[in-house]
Amino acid sequence: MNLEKMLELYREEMKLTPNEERVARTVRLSGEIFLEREQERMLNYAEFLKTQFFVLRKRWWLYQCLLLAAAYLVLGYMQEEVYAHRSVGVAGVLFVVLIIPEMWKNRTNCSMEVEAAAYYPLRQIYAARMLMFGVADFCIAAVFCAGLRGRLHFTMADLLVQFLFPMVVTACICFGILCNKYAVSEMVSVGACLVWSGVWWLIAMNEQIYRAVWLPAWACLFLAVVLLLAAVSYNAVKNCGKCLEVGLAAAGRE
Amino acid sequence: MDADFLLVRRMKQGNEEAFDTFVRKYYGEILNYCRFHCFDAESAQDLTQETFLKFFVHLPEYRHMGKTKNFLYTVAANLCRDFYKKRKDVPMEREGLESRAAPAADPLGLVVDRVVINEALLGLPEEFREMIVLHYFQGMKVSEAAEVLGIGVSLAKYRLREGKARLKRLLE
Repeated sequence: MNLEKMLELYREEMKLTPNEERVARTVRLSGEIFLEREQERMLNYAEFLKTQFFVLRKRWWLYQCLLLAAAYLVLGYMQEEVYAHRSVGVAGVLFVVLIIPEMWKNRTNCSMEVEAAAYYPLRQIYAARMLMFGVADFCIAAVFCAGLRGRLHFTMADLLVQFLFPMVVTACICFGILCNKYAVSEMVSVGACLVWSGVWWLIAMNEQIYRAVWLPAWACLFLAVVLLLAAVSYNAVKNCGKCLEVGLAAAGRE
Repeated sequence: MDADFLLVRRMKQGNEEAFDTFVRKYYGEILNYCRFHCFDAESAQDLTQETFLKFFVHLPEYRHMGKTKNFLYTVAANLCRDFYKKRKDVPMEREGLESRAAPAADPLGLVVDRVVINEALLGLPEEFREMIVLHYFQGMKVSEAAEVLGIGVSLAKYRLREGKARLKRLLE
């Protein structure tokens, strides 16, 4: 008998048929170990925020700081304090406009499909981004308001009406457009914010209108826009994938 | 797109059916590969299970490059190597082998003696044994075995030729 034949016989003799019980056990254990490993790999909220922080372009925070610093300097050199008080709202609007490029980043770069196919849902990514911008902007705005109070003698009421109110309305416009199911470009959002800025400038500079609104009414209006901001932010997070679905449906119809 | 790519993708999404299909697809091959390395049916079953578990532990980071089977073979080979190391009591002496084979006038003409071949295989250097196992017992072509081992076809041919010659000498 030659070697090949001998090995062939040996092979036949040694060959094992898979045991169904062992196969089923291997399948079960494989699934379990994979899921266990996946659990270990899941990031907690803090880690997820950290990874998103690295993805965000921090330059927009720098621009926001520079804008408010410039506004602070310019307002300080204004001859009449009343004009300084009334003009600060424009800075508030521009301050919010500066977050638009970062919030529209995935639409501008057409990376929504990639993000939607990623391990973490688009909703979570948007929520993390908005949370980080919210916290950072709150801190920057708080420092700016403290500066205004000290140097330009702004009262809390002035800050609320002149700076925070137009700023929150701008944020509402921005997130309202973002949560729109049609993929509206960032330029539309910037345009809408700038139109609002002009409208606000006219309101603030019109003594008749300005005096006609009583302070508690401003406070109520402010509260209303804060609630509106909460609602549109929630909608923006909830419907962030909608424009992608609309795009796909349109592509399907074609 | 090859079937393994889709299977790996579905498994990464946690599809249980894909796990079942994948394990069943390669279980027999890996089981027999381990069988020809450890010669003991029970240990072969354990090593096979261990091979799949090791594969699935690394599945989240696994990037399919079209060589899933090769990866499984590599994992199984490493486990078998560890198995050899642990099993210190494996008789490797040529004397024992010769004494078993000696009574026969023509050992190659004998009815296949499983123990003799087991020991002859164990007496081969690892690279030659690996080639013999893949080609003769796993039924792979030389080029396929070369791919699994990550070597060139000419080197695989040399190992097969040399392995056969050495095996023949050990059995004589």
